[in-house]
Amino acid sequence: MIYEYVPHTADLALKVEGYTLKELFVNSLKGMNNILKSGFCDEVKRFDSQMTIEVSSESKTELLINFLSDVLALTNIQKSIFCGIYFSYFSETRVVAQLFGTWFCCFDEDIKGITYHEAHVSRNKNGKFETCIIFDV
Amino acid sequence: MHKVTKEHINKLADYFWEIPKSFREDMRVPAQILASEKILDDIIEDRSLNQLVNVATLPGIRKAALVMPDVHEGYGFPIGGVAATMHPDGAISPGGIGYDINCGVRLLTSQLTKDDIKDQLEALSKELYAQVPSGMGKGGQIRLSSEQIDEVLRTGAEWCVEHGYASQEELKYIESHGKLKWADPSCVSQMAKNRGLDQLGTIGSGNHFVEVASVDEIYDREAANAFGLCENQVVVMVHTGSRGLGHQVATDHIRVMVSAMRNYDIRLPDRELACVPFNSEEGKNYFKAMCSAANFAWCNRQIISWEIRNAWNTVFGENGGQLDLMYDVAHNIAKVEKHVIDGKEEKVIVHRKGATRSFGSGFDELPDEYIPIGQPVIIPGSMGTCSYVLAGTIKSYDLTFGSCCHGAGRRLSRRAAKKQVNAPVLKEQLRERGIYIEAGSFRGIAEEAPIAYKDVNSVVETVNCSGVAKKVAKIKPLVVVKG
Repeated sequence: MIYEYVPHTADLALKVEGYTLKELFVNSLKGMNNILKSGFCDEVKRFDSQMTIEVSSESKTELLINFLSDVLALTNIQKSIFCGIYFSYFSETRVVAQLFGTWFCCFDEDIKGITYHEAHVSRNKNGKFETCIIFDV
Repeated sequence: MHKVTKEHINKLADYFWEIPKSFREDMRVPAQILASEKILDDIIEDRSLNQLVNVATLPGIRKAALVMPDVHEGYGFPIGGVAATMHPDGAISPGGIGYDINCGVRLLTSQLTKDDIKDQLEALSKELYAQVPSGMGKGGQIRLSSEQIDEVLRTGAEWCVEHGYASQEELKYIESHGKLKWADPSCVSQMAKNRGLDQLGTIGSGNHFVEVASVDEIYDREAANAFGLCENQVVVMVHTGSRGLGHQVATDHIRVMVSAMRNYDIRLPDRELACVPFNSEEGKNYFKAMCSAANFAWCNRQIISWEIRNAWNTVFGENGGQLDLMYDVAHNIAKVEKHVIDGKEEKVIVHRKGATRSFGSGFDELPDEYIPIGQPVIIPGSMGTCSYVLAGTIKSYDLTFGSCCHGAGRRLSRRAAKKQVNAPVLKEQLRERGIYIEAGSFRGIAEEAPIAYKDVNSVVETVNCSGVAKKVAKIKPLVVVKG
């Protein structure tokens, strides 16, 4: 499992795992993109846009939520789903990344916000990084 | 943290329950629930009451943290929550307003009856779908310049008057006359403004919709007359908010507050409750940005009304008559209001997240003909059921800081609804009952199926019997347009 959806009455909850923190970020982005448009990234054959993103936060949990929020904002403004990512800098409190996006016409699901509620990046008993992310939809 | 069970809840009166302050030592006030016993039994099933207890820990919270009968679990605040904090140094919490700032409802009244339009429902549904942009990621017909978006954020629905989308008279029929004067576009990020540039006049997706309905039953003739409602009359309801601009304002300021809380030594059980003192720099900046987003939402619903009128005129021509605005009310917002607490009038910051203001008779912001009745409260039900028009009451000031419910309240998750509902079949079943659905996808229909929601009749009966609002009319859907 790299991510799975878990039941939540009003919103969408995603449980994500990764062998490394960087992989957790990549898998969280995949999970978010799949909410926005199911299967879109599996079929992408070209990138139409490229953006640079830089996010700093005081903890790895806040960094993940803030990173996803900034990608979501760019997704909405650029009308591009960013299926490709290359981290040029990655630490627990700061990331710099190149995002590669593909234009889309409309979403399956509109994500209003990515919440800190129940988000907690930690290692599970298998040694993987994991967290739950609740999306306001 | 242990889960709230019925043993922890005391009955204060019919339809009114309390979790005492002693339930958890970090509670600053009790937590109160407006519900029938049956609804309370359902509410206990999810975690909304634990979330309410968390709200009761907010710095400066006054009297009680409250939930309405349509409450359900959210993140941070439960949906259907009301919290009033001390002005000016109590907390302001963006989570107590939600990501969709000034999500709200408006109702337009027509001069036609359901018999007048029964043969044109399908044409009307298709024309509305064509004229009112819906769905995710879709822009509208208006593209604002950066100067224009600042004007919209500053002036709200007034912008529509200046640009021919509304009449001056119409503004009286909007909560706060469609403009919060504390708005300051300089507190709204460029990212948020960019998200809003092409979103005026769009409904978005999820539970947002345009619905054509007819008045099915009148409960209070005097109030209905004042609101311009009569049996079989066709009305149009709009449910949407501040779109991506409001979502970004919330995201930006929650992020600021999560960090800033440490400077004010605020510790909370959930980061999504992040808050700062209202009169702090961060608090003032958020409030000014929230007011700007609220203004954007009122402008959005006004432009959608203009699009609806265009569709109406296309279908009915000169036989269609006018569509008049009955009222427009917010249900995700914070307002500085005066309320009586412990016998003394106090200024408080009232957070309503999935709760509607329901001020009673004598409220002088209302149009003259509504003042003896009270403020109209519009409660949408689910896609295939019914909705209600209520009137606010003076009793609501005492019980709920002048608030009541905002809808039916979600019962099933979107995924659960999709598993249980066959959308093409549902669409056909609704069609057989005379309800036309136009939606961007079957997925959207399944997620918003009636089975996904609580019974709106029980919710409305609770607010009616408890006295926080009174029933005026029931309306039934004829056409639903959604993203």
